Amino acid sequence: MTEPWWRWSRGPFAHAISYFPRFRRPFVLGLLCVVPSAALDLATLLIVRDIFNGVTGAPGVQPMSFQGVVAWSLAVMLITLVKGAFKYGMRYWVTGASREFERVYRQDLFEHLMTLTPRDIAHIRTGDIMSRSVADIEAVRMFLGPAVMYNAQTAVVMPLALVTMAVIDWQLTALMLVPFVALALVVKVAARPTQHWSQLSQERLGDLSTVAQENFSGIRVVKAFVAEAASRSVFERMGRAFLESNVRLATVRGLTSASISIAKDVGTLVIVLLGGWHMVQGRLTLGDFLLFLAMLNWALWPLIAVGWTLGMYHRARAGAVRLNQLFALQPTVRELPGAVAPAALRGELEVRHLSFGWGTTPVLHDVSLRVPAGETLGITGRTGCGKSTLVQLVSRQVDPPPGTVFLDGRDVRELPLTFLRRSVGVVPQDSFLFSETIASNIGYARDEIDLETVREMAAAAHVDADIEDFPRGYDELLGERGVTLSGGQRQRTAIARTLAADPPVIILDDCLSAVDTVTEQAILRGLRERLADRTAIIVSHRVAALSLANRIVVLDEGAVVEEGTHEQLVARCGPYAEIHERQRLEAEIEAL
Amino acid sequence: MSAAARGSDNGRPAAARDHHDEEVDVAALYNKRILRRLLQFARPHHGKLAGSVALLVLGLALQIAGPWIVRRVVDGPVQAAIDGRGADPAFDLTGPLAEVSRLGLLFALVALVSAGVIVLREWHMNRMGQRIVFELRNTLFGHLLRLPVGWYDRHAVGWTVTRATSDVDALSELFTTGVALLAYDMLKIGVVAALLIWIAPQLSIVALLMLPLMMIVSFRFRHNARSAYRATRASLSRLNAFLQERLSGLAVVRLFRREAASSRRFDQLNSKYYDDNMVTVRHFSLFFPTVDTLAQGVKMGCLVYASWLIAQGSLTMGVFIQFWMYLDFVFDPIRELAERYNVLQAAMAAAERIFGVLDTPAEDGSPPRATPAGPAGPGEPPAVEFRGVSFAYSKGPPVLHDVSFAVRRGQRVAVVGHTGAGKTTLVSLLCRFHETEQGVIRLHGRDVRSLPQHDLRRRIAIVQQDVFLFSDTVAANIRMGDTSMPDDRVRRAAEAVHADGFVRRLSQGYETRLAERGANLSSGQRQLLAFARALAADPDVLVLDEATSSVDSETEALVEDATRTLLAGRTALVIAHRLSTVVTADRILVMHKGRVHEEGTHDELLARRGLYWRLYRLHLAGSETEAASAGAQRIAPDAD
Repeated sequence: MTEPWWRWSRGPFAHAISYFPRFRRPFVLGLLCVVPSAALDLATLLIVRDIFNGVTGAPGVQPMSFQGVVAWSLAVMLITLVKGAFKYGMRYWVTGASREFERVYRQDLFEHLMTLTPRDIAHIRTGDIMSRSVADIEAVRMFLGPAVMYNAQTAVVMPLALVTMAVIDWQLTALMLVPFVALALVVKVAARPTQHWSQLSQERLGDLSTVAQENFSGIRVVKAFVAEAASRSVFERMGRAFLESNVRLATVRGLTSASISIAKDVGTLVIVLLGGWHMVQGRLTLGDFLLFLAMLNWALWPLIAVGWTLGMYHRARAGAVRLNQLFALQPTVRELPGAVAPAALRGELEVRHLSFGWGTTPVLHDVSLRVPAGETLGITGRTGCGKSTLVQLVSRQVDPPPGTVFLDGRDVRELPLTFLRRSVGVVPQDSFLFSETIASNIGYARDEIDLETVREMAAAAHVDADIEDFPRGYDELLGERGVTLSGGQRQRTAIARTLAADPPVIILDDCLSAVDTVTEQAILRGLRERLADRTAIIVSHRVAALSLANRIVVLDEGAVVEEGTHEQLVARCGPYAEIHERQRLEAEIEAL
Repeated sequence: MSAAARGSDNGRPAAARDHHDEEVDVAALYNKRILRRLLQFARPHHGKLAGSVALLVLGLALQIAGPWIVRRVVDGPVQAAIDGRGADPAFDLTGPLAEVSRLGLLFALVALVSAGVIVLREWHMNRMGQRIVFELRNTLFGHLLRLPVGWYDRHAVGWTVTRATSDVDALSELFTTGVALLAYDMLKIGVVAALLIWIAPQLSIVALLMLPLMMIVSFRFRHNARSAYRATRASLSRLNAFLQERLSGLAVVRLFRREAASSRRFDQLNSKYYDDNMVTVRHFSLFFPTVDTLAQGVKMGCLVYASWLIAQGSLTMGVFIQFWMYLDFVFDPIRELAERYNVLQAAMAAAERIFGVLDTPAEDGSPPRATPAGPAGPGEPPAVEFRGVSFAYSKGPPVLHDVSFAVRRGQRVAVVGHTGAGKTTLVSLLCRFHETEQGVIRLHGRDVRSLPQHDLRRRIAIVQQDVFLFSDTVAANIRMGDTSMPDDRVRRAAEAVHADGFVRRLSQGYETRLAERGANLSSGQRQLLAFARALAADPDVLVLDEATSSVDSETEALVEDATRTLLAGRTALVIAHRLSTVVTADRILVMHKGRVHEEGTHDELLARRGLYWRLYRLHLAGSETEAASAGAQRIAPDAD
């Protein structure tokens, strides 16, 4: 172990341990049960010994009558029942507390993650976060919960067993320590290689999955180049490596479990040989002999548990480190302390001399825009011109530099996040929907929404007819087991979702790209009505969508290159006019 | 309106129709057919299997010998000493002591051999089990690769990967320990029960009467624990799905300020998981004390009865101790039996899914169809010929209508058209990724359906629009499994298409391992590698599906030049997006809505002022301001 347990409060486990005071009661109660259950275990063993001695009439022991045997046996059963209750309490309370810890800890992790922006966690794969949330928390839980319980059990049982045995026959006890200690050592020594091979095994399984996944994803290439045999041989090679580490792992594990049987056999051998001699010499009664055999079973298990804990330590520690890393992530978009929401919102958006870059790559150069309340601004430009970045900054999905983006004349950085999100609604470019019902996706922004409103919003986004065609209509689940929406349907549902939030300012970020032109026209007609009294920004490649706007801005390489109404821009024969001409041709071809 | 839909992050736990319940396998019932099929995989190893059985039986015999020796010690020297001392306090103990030593030595011998047997058994059985699973996995993977492309269109990649990994792993437990230990435990219970009856018939009645009760309790408990466990898996799966979605859709969560609502919903799911876990915790907390109490009951019952029998003189102390020790031999496997049964069930469920895949017919399962050669045209047959081909993907709308065209040897034909015109489907049909429904496709005059798959595909090389690279070395990606291809040819192919330059700059040149899907290369570099791959394959017919993704102008020039090299003097069908490729083609097919709309050379088609002419003008319009709308076709400003 890297650090002794009394230092854990400062090591990687510190954060996890800080949760424990909350579960002090069940945890302590459970641990308290360890003592009586061990004591009662010992009591039954001793009573059984006495019954044996009474039955065989060992020297110096009163022979026990049959009634006595029955009475004592009943007593044993009674004790066993009481002991069962304590064992139940021990497991239930300690494991329960560790589960409760797990729940609260995971909840905190989730809530922490929700404070972050996608960019803050972009460097960690989703699968990685998932495995931390499940496997790593589980490892920490096992280590701080059940493992503590088993160790407490060991701490109580071992001294009890050793003292009892030593009082009866210290020589025999001393000799029995040999297999015990040897076993503890074997388990401890095996912990490292077990960890090593199991990790390697996991990695190789990962490699194997990757190869399988690649070949299945690229099945057309594999088949086109008749590379099946080669793929098989790569898979076999990976499989062989996996096989090898598995065999190694199984060997280490097998040796560990074999050493348990062997330790038991050696212990029995000691009892048979030395105990036999002592019985012949009259120093040990038959009952004691049997007690020693029983002690072997009783004391061996706690020893194994200690070994198991040691094996688990590294895994739990690594898990705690990884979890701490997640908790250490700081959100980049934060609400300023004391941010106050204005009483009313007019909805005027302004961008002043905004320059921005991702890392060292400049994206926007000195962009200035003004959208008066209730007006619609169109933004267009080729891929990579900075449109999406501009949208992210204006809606504060990413923090703009101070003093560049204003809502009603106030820097968006100084507004409370809830106010800002309620005021500025964005239909993002990638229309991510959750795999829940269509109705709950449309009503996503609200705590409660009635079906009528959902329908109305769906109608406004021209997706109502599509939805009503599904067998379950608005109750249809999305995703793998539900219906799969086409790109256009997704985009329209996403529009309905934002409309349902009813924001005074709305930004449509190129959200009709997968919709055919006819539907687009219909949606735009509907939107014209909805946008009438709102401030809006429409980002699009399509002239038809932009023509809704009061003014249009053309971006190129992060700077505004053209600005004006649709008519002005078409007349100017600049980039906008070219897009216009091109789309006219496309429509012509489509109509053929 | 009474029905109320609620915001998804705040709603009730998902409706009854929840797929996570289905995901957790409903354990397959014990199925002889599946078990027999599984055992077939073990058949080639029957020698080793016999070895493990022998080791198991030997191990059992040695285990049983232990208590027997203890009995000999107690009833022999110990009893003799007690009796002797009772008669004469100065009884000579040398004889009994020596007897104990002899028996102790015997015990040591048994323990030693037993240790050897156990170690050997662990090692041997694991090796064998892993080996069987290894072979099964290879068989499965090999079969999967032979399944038709259409099958892959219908199955998610993740699902398929799970078959080849997790499911096979579930079997691994079965083969390495499961079956053998299950058999061993059954054998042990049977043998020890018989021994109990044999050594103390009267006493055994007490024990054996209570054994069924223990078994019932054990199975009952494990059954409950199993269903509780299943509930736990289902709620964990739901929790994970929710977490994963909130992470993927974090931007949406934040845009709509649903962090708090998401947390509330997560709390519900998390608490459900906790509750389900607590059911399991309760089961287990109850299970162990209950079984222990029952076992203790059996033992105490035996003890009471034995004390009476001993007093009667019809049972010796040694026999009773042996009996007492054997009781534990029965209790332990009973405790484990139900668990082993669960392993078996899980393995059965996995096996059922695996056999489901293995039973899916492979694409080359049926022999090539014999088709009439058809009237041979005058002279050499065209390299590629489509005659009246119509096609629709399963139940979808028709994608191709009555398409006919031919590519003569050495000719280069460009296919142009808007998205959805059916261009890519032409390639799929030519390579027989899908079977044509109507019409005939011929390669050098032979119906492609009459050619063995491998033959057909070896003659055609494809460069796909969406280049697929494997996370293997650069060289391996060019070789594509042809291990006989000399390094020299790999390098020359790369040189010819201008890939050599950047490959050499990679840390280990051609031996550099690429990231998944070649993510560490630019899209232009990936295209060049795909060119090198096709060139190295040196096919009869080259099919090039040009990429639409934009690359920087420097790379663009390289790609364009590489395209020229690749196509030089080759029979080629090009799904063209690059004007230079189109203009220099021997013939151009203009596809529109699944039909060949126009056909001819560049000049002819321009003169016709039809669809091609419009597409061409669209190109020119697009050359200035590139719009990302569908079907964007790039043109290099300096195109010839």
